[in-house]
Amino acid sequence: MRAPRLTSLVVLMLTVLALSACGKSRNVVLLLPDPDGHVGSVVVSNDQGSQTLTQAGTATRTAPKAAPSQPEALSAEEQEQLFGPAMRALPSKPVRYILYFVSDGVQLTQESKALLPKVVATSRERQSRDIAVVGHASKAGDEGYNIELSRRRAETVRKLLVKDGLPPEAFEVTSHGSTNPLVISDNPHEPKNRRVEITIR
Amino acid sequence: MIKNTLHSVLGAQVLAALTLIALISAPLSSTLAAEADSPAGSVKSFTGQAQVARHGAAPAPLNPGDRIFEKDVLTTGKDSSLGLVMRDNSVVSLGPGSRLVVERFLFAPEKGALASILRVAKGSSAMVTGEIAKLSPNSMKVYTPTATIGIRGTHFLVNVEDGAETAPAEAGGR
Repeated sequence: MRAPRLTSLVVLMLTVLALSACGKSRNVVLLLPDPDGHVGSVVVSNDQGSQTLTQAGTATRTAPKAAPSQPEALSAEEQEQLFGPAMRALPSKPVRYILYFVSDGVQLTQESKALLPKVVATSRERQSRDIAVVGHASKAGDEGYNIELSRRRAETVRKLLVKDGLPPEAFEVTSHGSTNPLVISDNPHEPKNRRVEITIR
Repeated sequence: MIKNTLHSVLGAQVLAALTLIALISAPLSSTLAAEADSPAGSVKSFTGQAQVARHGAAPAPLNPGDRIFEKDVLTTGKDSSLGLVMRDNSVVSLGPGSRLVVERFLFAPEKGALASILRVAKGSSAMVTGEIAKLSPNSMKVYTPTATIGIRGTHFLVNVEDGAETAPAEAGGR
């Protein structure tokens, strides 16, 4: 299962350049929709004033000793000229998987075990060299024990993924015990909190 | 090739010196050291030439998977670009002839420690915000030589009145 938490607020672009031939400032901040289609909002300010961008495709220009300009639509041509290479270099968002465990141990649930090949495939596709594995435990029991248990869970997952051929140096393993629950629950044995979160960057 | 060898030799010495310092200071500040050492992000991709200047050292080439840290100064050459994934899962890129300074980066949500302050000193950059902007929009800032960019959470949509040039009193008051 993929966690829905990686959504983002804004895409912003900016250039720091001299004036263009037509005399317009090429210090530009441009707002674009995020990869999910949402449009965020940015405030561009300096000692002379401030502008808020809220519409996708709008930009403000800044210059020394002048307030940011009124938002304007940036032409596709200028967008490409100023931001083309940076836009193409923007990495895709990291992908997160959550694996669940049976109670009080490092045994993955059947469903989560079946997910491992997908985790490996995604890491390979992305050619990831930065994979975070974070272990968590439910609230039941002593916290010292939970930290140790979630560390062992994360370590178990790392070993399985390395065994499947992912590069060992890509991994960073951490343990959060029960301090970072996925769901707030009255049940101290909440199965959704017995988990390892894998972020493939 | 010779340059590369030189880099790695120098790198080894610096690393040895750092290790020595770490060993000496470990009993006093192991927790602090661990936090200061947490990466701010990593290199996802690059084209052409991308470099990092760290702790005032000479710029060294960057490669995919390299971790980057607070205070790093990242640069791209002509016809070059760089793609980064930060620890809060924000993504950042640099176009050609650009310079980005990681002024401050803290991502420890369980402790409420959140900060992402990036300075685009030169060139072009694209960013998609991540967890820091979502959890604490005011904790993310991007500086340029002529303006500061702040993030507004979608729940805080405010229309700034027209003609900001007539309202300089509001500057810096956010």
